[in-house]
Amino acid sequence: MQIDETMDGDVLILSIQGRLDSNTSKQLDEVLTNQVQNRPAVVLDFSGLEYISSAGLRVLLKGAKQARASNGKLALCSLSPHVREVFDISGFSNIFSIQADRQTALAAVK
Amino acid sequence: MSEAKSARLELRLRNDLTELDTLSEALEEFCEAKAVPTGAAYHLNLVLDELVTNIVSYGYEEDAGEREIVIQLEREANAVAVVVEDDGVAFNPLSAKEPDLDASVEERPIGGLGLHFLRTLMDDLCYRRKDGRNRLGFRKPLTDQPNAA
Repeated sequence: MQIDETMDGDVLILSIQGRLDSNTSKQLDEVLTNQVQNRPAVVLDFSGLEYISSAGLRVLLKGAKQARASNGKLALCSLSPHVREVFDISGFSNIFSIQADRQTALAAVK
Repeated sequence: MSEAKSARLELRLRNDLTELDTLSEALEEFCEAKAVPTGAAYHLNLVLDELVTNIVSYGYEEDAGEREIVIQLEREANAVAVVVEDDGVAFNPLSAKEPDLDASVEERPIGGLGLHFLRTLMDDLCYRRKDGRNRLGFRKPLTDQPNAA
């Protein structure tokens, strides 16, 4: 898994490439935990995310809780149909701001 | 491979999370060779990932050393039949509690989702504890629509 960080104004965009599972979720946990507390808004771009398991969802849930606690905003975008289905089955689609693409995600957190 | 014509695959994984890569690569190859639709292949990978992660994380004592998780896959006419066996602590996934899927961010418990995927995405679940081994069987039905949920 690879995580690329870019800025758009005040918004940090994290692009995740590869597989987010119990073997790789710690990498995202470290980055996300640190960043959601220090940034007003974070967008997770999943266009390169091939796969997600519950370990990945767990890290995202933790990030969402931290963002909420520090009044930060968090949005996800560009989920593949397979990844989106995992969010739907687990009920996570209702607790995240999920946007079609990066532009709408940026608009959602501004 | 010599097993190219066989409808079966047996995978032996070590109790280590890095084996998830071995699992996904072997599954992809099996599903491609056996014309398993991508949606079903993704579900199989997800459920097996969750089961292996559970076994590796909770199935053994800290100093258990290297152990083996055995996964058998068989392509049937309209399904993929799966058996997962391990020699970790007794654990029946069929008796685990369902998570609350409607809870808010604050209330959402962390955990329990892997087994929810198993019960949601797979059929014909059966569990047996015998001779110090857990044996979990299930089946992924294959529909006519390649990407059906």
